[in-house]
Amino acid sequence: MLALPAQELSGELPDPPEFAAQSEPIFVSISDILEYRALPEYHEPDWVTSKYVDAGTLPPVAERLPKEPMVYKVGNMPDGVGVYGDTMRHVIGGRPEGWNYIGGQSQGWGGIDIGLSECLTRTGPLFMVKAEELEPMPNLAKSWEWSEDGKELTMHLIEGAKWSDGDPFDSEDVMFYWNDNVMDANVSPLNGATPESFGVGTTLEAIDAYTIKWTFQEAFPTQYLYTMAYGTFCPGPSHLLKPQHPNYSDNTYEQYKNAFPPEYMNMPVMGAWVPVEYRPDDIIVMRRNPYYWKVDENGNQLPYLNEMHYRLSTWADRDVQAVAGSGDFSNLEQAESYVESLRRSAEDSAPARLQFGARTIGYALQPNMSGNGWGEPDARAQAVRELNRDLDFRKAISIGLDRQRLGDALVRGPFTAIYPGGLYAGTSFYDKESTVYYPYDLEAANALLDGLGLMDTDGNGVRNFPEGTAGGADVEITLLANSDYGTDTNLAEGVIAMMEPLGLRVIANFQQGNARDDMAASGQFDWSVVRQGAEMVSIVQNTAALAPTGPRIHTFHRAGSDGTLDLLPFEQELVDLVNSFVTTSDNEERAEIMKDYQRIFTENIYSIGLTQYPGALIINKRFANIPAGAPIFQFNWAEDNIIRERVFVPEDQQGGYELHPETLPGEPGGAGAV
Amino acid sequence: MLRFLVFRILGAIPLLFLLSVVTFAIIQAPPGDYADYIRSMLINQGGVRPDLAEIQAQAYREANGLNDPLVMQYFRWITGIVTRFDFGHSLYYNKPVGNVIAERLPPTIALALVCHLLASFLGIGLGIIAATRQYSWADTLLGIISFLGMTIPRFLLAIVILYVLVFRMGVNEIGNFNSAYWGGQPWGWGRFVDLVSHVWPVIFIATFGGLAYNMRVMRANLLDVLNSQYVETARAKGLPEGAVIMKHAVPNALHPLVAYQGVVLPYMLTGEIEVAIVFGLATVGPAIVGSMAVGDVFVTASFMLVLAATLIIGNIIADILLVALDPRIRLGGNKE
Repeated sequence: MLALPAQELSGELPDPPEFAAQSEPIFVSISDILEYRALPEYHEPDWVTSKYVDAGTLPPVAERLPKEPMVYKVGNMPDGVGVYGDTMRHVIGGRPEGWNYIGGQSQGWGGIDIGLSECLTRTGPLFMVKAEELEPMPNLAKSWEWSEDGKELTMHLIEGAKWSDGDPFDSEDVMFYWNDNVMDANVSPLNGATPESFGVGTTLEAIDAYTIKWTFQEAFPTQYLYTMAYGTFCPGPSHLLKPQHPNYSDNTYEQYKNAFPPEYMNMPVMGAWVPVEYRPDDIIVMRRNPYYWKVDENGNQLPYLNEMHYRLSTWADRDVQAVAGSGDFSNLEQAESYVESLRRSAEDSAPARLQFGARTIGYALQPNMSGNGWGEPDARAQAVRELNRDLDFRKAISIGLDRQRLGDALVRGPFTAIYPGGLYAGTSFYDKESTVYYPYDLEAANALLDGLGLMDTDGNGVRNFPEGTAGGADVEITLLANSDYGTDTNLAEGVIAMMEPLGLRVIANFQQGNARDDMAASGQFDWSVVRQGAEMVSIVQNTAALAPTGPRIHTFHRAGSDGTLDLLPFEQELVDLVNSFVTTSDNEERAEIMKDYQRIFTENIYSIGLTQYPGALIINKRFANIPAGAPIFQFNWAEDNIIRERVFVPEDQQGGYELHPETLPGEPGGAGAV
Repeated sequence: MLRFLVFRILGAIPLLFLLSVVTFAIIQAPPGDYADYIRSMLINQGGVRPDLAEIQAQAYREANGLNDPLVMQYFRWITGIVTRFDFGHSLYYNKPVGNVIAERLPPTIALALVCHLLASFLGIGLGIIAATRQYSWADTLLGIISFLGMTIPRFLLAIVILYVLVFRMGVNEIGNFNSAYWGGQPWGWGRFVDLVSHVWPVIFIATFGGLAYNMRVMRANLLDVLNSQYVETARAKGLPEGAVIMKHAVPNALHPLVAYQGVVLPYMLTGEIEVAIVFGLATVGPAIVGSMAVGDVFVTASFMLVLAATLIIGNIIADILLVALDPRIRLGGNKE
């Protein structure tokens, strides 16, 4: 049997179906969204002035704001300048460990830490930034410049900004974060910042109170600007944390980490809201930060919303409450519930609306490409891996899958699209011309498998390994999938069924989240159905994970026990492309590199794409200033994408949800709002 | 009697020990631990690169002894319980397991008790109605109800009710014991009403299952008793039918249900637990399932142990009741 030439198998990739409920972002420059400048006058809610400023317990708003606050431009605000008041009610499944984010404590996820912690740069709203101008948005670092050789980066921090308790924010906070948390191997900041996150050998020094200087080993490593956003460069309040750190006290590292438990109220933050109430297994309440350093063009101090709630429930409850209207915000990601949710939201009485973004949720079948003993495979598993490493085998699997049917089985309608693998259609670096697609062709798939010498020698309907391989046994392949989510198992079951006509026996290995992750991370799988990670969506974040650029970086090809990778020639090409991508600052050049990446990836069917579909933001109808096309996840989660500090509720729609109306956070460690 | 009791309690100790070994082994058997959960959250929620997340997970394992052999982890846990009544540290809640149990067990038991009392009174009442109107339309209707109650899985009923409430009726008072406002208020009439408006689906569903069982047992027993001679005698004496049933028949038909009370504790707990999981109420159920999913082993193991203890306590109570009711058992015990 002669091998089938690729051009006979590849075909035209159908465009994703049109989809009315999907909204497209309005693409702008970063300078259209915000700037830093002083305004002639500033405003705040009347009750803050009358109850606090007039009483002498709080300085006037102009004194609380930085010299040049961050100003959001009205032109980019979908509903314009907002009004003060109301609450956004979140529901989450996590639980807070405490408020010491940089000491490694989780705040419970679901957007809490995104709201509490501000970082040097910001990535969430980048979904609306023009691709050719893509770079992280300024935030605590209001501007930066590179030295001529590209190895030094000087950053200017916002001047005169204050923590929510009034303490100045300056380079001391930044240096405490860097020296005593990132560089201290005994501390693991929550999202895993280590010295390597910013490049081996990178140093950071403070020039003055508002200037810091980075020195890198490479020239123009612009990807680190993305690393300086959430969640790896969000400094904590050094005036509170430093006295608890083992370098400055008798505390152990454990005591440092746990010095600010969830019961500790009014933790100083740079974010828009401050935690003022915590009821275990019930709720976390946050009130507006009176020192928040961002304003709108009219000089109104942000945020518009006075209060944030986080009901401590379950992740599944989040969707239910958002649809019911007792929660305001959720990310709908399970395609199976789209039709019912859309139907409900289309009713006039529905409290929430659904906003679909780009199709950036994508599932792929990932073959274990390690032929080097990763995960200690037995003879059968090793034989499967050798097959996985054969392009004809991957082609056979790919064209043996009817992707249209796979997507339709999840949800009828225009939601799902055929996904050939590689970068998603709808993301910044996607290029259709560079995408190779092998359409469904059962006959050719069987021919390819015949060509590999996989014949059904015992007549039981299942192909056998050739004589001398795995004892000539039936070709049995285990398929790992996460049983926590219906979508994962539904797709996996579809794959299993579609492999049957090819004479391949695929055996389901459905495991709950933790067990699945453990098996996947230790290489104990032949195939795995996976919802792909952040790097496939944003490209510019975690870029290294796009190819096996290190021994333990990639999801389906890692080093064996001897610590080395056995890269195939095309994998080496992908690694080289990814490495050159991260050291290139020119956006046009980057786009070209990613075209090559996409072509080599899809031509070689590195992973077998299954389906891609959009997530839906479920948001209560009363909220205004929700940007069009805000994805539930692209550069960051929807909580960051929608720029919550400028979201508001029109006066006539405001509800009585505030639990501590007309109060502000009290002293750090105090009883709560006063 | 005292000797019987002492022997029963002493006999429970090795049983509990055995249960603790088995539960610990079972929950540790599948791959994955809490550090895997940390890694997943870092990758999925925080967008962390896999290798960096792995480093952090490994550091967590090291710091919290998750790399130690299972036997050592078990003995550390069990020694803490025996010597200091310390159930270990909850990795997920970042506080002592004892606190997690103490926070969640009282509302669980309270809910279970309410459901149990309602199921008993309503079940017995409806059982009486069904038995006294045998083969009437009321009996048939109650038969259908009890049939549904005994056959529909509670979690399924919970999901159906959740769906109807949210999607069809627009009710959104679900998922917590109290609304955000009332949860922070001191206890009073307003908070109580708010509580009821939140927990009624759980009470309804858990009651429904138990009620059906009680109704069937009560109906069958009462029918037996109503046909016995002394009831006929009471009727013959000219007692009104109501007095015959309530004074003579019902008390005698109640015996099996009274004896059943001893072992009902775990049954009513599981009923409440199943439903609370669907509704996400902060009781024992969601904590057990949640801790299993994230690999928070000491919470799962401790809850299992506590539930096993309630089962054993329930059995001991049942034995005591039986001893009190039936002297023959006591005599048998004395012979040993």
